[in-house]
Amino acid sequence: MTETSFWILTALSAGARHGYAILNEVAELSDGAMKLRVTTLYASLERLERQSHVRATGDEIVEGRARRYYEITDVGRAQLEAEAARLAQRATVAQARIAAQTTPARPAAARPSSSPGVAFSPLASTAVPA
Amino acid sequence: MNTRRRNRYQRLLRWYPAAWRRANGQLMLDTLEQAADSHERALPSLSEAWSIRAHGLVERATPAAITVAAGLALALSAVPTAALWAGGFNSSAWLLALVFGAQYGGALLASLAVGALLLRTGLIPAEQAVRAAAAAALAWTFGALMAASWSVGFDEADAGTGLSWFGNAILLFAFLAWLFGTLAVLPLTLAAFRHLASQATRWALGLSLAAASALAWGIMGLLPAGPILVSAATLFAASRLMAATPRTPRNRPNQPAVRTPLSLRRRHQLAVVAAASAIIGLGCVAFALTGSLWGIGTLDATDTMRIGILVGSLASTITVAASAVALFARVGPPVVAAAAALTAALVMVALSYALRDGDPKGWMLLILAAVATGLAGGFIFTPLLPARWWLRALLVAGIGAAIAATVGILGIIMATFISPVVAIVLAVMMARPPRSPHATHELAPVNAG
Repeated sequence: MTETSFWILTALSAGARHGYAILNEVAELSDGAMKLRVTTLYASLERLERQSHVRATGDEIVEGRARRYYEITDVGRAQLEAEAARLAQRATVAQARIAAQTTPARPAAARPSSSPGVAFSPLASTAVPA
Repeated sequence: MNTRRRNRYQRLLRWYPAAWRRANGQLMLDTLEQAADSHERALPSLSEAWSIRAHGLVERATPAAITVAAGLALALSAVPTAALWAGGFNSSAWLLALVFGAQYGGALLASLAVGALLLRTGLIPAEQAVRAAAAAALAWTFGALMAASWSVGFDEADAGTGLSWFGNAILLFAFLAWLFGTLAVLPLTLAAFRHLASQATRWALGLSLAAASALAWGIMGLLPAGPILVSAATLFAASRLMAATPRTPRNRPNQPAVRTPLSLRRRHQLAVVAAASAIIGLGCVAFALTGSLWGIGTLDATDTMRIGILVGSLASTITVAASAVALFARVGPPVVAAAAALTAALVMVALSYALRDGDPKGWMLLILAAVATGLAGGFIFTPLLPARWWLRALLVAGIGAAIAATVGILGIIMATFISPVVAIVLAVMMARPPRSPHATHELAPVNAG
């Protein structure tokens, strides 16, 4: 999943939004890191519609300006959940590795015999909770 | 309301196709205006205007447009092979330029069609895609200049007149072609490595892969069969994409109806025919390879090879007919068309070898045999192709051209040597009892529904 699709689906996961509201919400959710252009937004929405990840729910005119509302589909939600789980898993692994690196290794004599080499074992270190 | 800004946006939106503008133009215009209001922009910024133009251009790369581009690429790519067959490479410099233009124009169209297919996955943004397309156009232009430079340089060296700057510039053109090719592929390779945390590693891997891919594409473009194969594959992929776009359901007249499985008696008949064809074919192969040692008159190795291929090609028609009967229950009418084309091709090979060695008509017959072989390959793919008749015809022609230009001539001449093997396999398959006759009978009514 591309970063643009990820943020658009994330914005829509809380409910239906129109194009401009999606733009603002993506900027807000990503803390300003992802600033979508209007062109990119509609191109991405079109692609997500083709992939059945979002669907248009209706048009309306507000203050003389056209708006089209979009909502996430079940397929899109499942994709987003899978992507979020993948990212979370990667983040967990990374944090565990960072924690293992920064924890000073204790002298061998002081280690409990039931958990030998925790600080240096790659297998064990990935299991350390973040 | 800022009328000047609105007019400017309206003009920029003309880069989008008219149908798209009718469906989404007003919505896009109003959203652009709303965004401009919030950013207090009096006019579209340069980058925004460029983005609108790029997205408008990319929006035109519909599956239908990609199909047409791939079809055109295929037609252009077949020109060098046709010129080679017709002896066009020995003609005037203008004709040579036309052939190179067609070859590299075809390669450019094929690479643009492949890029447009990748673009639909959203891997790279429209702005980068347009820049990549421009780089690809430059890369293939320099590729064509490189080929022309090589040709001119070769002629100049042959004439002993010394090399002109153009004849001497082959390495420069090759380098520029590679450079722009790398730039064209780079956005895609960088996007492929977007998950890498280290930017330095991402760029190193992206650049290396782009340079290697560009070189591979360039080498492929040098060979006449390369762009043919790529554009045929792209045409196939784009047509599948078109078939996947929602359309009104229509009748599929060539959808397989209920077909009667082969009876045991028919299977035995086919086994006997295939075995007979295999025996005759093997005899032809033996004669073609060793006939000169048999001491028949004054026949030398060339004569026996020609006679072996002549009779072997005719004997192969028996294997083709038997295979068509065996496959009809599974594939349906397309197999009849394919068998007819293949039979015609084999007869043309036999006629070609019946002529005197070196007769120009013999070469023409072999070319026609290659075309018929390609058509046979195209027909056999028909059940996999989309239902739209024009698209199906284009694809059959495209696949046919690809087969004809690549393995056509060699494949059909080698039929004498290949068909005995096919005949033996067919004979064994037909001699064995069918795997599950009951299942076939039970499935037939379900298929009928």
